[in-house]
Amino acid sequence: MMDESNPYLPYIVNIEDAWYETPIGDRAVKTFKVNFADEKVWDTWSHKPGNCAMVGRLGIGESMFCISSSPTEEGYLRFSIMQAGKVTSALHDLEAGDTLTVRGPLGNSFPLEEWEGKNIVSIGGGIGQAPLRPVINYVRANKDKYGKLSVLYGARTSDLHCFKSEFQEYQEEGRLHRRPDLHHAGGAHEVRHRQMRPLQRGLPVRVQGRTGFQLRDAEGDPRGVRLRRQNH
Amino acid sequence: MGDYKFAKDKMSDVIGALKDYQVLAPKAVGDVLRFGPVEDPAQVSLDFPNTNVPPKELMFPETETLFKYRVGQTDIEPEVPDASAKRLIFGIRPCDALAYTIVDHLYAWDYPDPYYQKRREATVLFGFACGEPAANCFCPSMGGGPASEKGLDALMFDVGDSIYVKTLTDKGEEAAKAMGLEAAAEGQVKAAEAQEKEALAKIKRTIDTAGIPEKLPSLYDHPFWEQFSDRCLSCGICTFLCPTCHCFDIQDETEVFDGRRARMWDTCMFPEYTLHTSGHNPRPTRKERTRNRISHKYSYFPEKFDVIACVGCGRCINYCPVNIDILDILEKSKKAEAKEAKTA
Repeated sequence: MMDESNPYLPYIVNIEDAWYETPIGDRAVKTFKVNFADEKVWDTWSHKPGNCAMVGRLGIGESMFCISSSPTEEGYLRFSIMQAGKVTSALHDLEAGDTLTVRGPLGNSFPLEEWEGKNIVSIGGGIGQAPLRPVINYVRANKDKYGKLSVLYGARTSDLHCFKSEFQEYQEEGRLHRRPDLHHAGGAHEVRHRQMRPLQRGLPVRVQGRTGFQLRDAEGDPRGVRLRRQNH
Repeated sequence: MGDYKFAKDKMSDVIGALKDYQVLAPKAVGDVLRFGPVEDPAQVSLDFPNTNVPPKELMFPETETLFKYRVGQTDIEPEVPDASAKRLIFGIRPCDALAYTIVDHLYAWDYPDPYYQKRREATVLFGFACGEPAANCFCPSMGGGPASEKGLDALMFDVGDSIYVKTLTDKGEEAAKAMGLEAAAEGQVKAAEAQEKEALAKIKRTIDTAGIPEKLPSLYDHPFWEQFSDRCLSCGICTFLCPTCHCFDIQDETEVFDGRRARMWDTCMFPEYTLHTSGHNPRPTRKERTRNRISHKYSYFPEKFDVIACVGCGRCINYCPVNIDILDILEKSKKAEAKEAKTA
């Protein structure tokens, strides 16, 4: 847990490993695997899938990112960060051996306890997969508590597919029903009926999550299931 | 608690006797009246309607250092205020003291804020009742009043040649003792009571807030906001000078090798407040920002903390360069026809 007496003080973390998920350049995604400089922090640290944290660099600033590792992955935290502005650009300059500041865990989390005994369907796209990755890994590490885990994922191009090697693992475990639609045919947010069919049995008809997508029921709709961006 | 008094011409002695306290009182900085540390007790004057800048800056300054560090190093040096360093705010108006009790909810919620809380803890509030409320005051509508005692440790009244002091808490009593005050006479207590009644009668502006917190969300997409936002200049003065507005941003600042992480007041009236790095802005126009300012005070805050985040001090009305009047907005919101309810 965060320093109860002062939530503004960050932990110093060491970058143990850092790599690019997507081709290097503007809006690239880089993953940082970090560990607390003071390992005693682990005695009190506790986060849940979906929690976020303020990640920063002293002298630059801090911004909010989701923690992309599950609490079941022990001994490290992961952050997958897209380069977009001042702080993220400065973070992308860092490599293994450098330090970061982390303040958290913050925010709310996915109700994984309520979901026990249920089938879990993870639907994400692009780097929006980052907050879902801890859910997936949490469920994989607690197989006996959950039903079937299905992972659906979309990216604008195959280059922008994050966490690729892990998808290989999902497939080997039989969790990946179909590779995401990487052919622009229906646009970035459309998944074709044919591909969705295996999921329609026993699938919740409407899933609302923090990703801003809604999965609408295909019943009676010849166009099939569509993933639509919510209008704000 | 106790009833005390001091002669007006002895005010500098009374303030000077507060050796164990840092005394903060209204003072003119250029043409702006704001609270600040008293350097010369003889300069303190209680002849003011209210300060331009609310004393919220004494609990959460415009800019405050959270911690310091050396650039390139990882040692963090917190800059938390010392709760044992006693302070006394001399002459705070009841509305501004009431504002602290509202903002307290926010800084105690979720993650308690040591910077705010330690200053609050260390500070004694010597209020000053209003004998001549200003034209846009509407504190009675917001649960306050010209002699409201809420949040105060002591309340002072101007009763002619002397100031009558009514202590309300142990902290107030302790400070009154330190000031060496004499006991008040019966006549002064009566004069204060009469003054409160008279002052109350002088307040002409009112708002019945019943139903407003519940109704505002239903006006989320209503065009009525535009009649106010169209003339808004996005200057942010309504929020910077609001005693309950509390939003801040956190930035790092460096000067060669000296670095600090500091927080500074921010305002929801600026487009940058909600601008995402992607370029998307969920509150792209003044309409959404005006709606947020009013809805936060009168709907979201009460929904969360059960109290409206407004004390009726009238500053946002007094200082708006284009005369946007919060009471006018609220009255019109009551008349506007509700549409489908939506949340923020």
